[in-house]
Amino acid sequence: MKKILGVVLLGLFGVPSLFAQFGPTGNTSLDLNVASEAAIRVDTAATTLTSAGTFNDFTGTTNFTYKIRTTKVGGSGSVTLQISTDFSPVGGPSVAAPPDPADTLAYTCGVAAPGTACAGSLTASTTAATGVATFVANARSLAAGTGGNSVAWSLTNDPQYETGSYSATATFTISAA
Amino acid sequence: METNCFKGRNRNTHSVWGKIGLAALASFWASNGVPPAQSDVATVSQMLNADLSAAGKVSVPASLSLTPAGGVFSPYAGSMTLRYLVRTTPGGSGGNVTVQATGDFNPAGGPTVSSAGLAVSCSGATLGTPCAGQNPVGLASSTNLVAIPPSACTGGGGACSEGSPNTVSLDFSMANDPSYETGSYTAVVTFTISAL
Repeated sequence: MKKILGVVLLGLFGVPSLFAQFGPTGNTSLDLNVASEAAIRVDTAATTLTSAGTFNDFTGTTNFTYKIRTTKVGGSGSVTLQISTDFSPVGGPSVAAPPDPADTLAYTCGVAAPGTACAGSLTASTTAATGVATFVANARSLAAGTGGNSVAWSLTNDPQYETGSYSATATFTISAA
Repeated sequence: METNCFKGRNRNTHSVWGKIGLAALASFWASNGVPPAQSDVATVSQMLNADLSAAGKVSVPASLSLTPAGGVFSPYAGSMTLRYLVRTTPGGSGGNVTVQATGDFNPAGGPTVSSAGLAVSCSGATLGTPCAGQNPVGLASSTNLVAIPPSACTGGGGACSEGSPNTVSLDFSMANDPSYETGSYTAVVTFTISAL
């Protein structure tokens, strides 16, 4: 018991004061660590896909704004999307189990600097995230966020789809390292 | 002749021993601080004057970490306690505790004091009136943190404050701009107290 008490007392006496001595002036250094961060805002509340002509694909555009800061050396970042909820109700289009394997929900990307847009047309998936944008090391967006980014959707207009209204949810994810 | 010689030798011997004795006593008194055994008692009055002028001192932590206060890209924030001792004169104008950035954030590439909008708010001053609202902290001028009235003093209660030292809580905040490069940055702020 004595040993324990002794150790405790030594510990207490050994704690240095966080405060400096009293003086006419005092200095404090303000320290901060700026880390990599990223945030995204989808600016289109609901994207309506429409067909411009008979059995033309359904198309529509989703706009988004991003904020990003990647690590100065060796950093990177990305924006991806995934169909988190497939079209419903059943009987219409489906990303996971379309009536015809050739039916797809495809998209192209438009991304403002410092991001780089995905190349070509990609097929959205319910099981894996697919790319929208990439960022290199030391990429930094505008303070208010960099806007003017978009995903242009194209959904096959298959005659096998039953008539009606269908909805799916696409989830956008941004990351920075 | 013989007697005279003896008397003369005896007188000389007494004189030498007497001098030695006196010297030994003086040395003893000097080394022991014992006054001569005399009966004189002297009383001396000395007026003590203390000129208590206005004064003030502060004590602050050596460093303060600013961290994101909330989610992604939320402002950087940090809180600290400033301690102060102060005495102001009844006829004076009181005093002030101020802060000023004396060194911008470095290295370059990150925030600057001006672009980041470094600001401070004050609360809970145990003596004086704390600043109200968010107050910008700059490199060019000082920002008032606590206004101390005349006739104020730290500690002891009564006309002075109860506690000692006096304290005030300070909350610093600044923007988290995506344009800052990643890394660690440091700026120095200097607190000053004045009392009149």
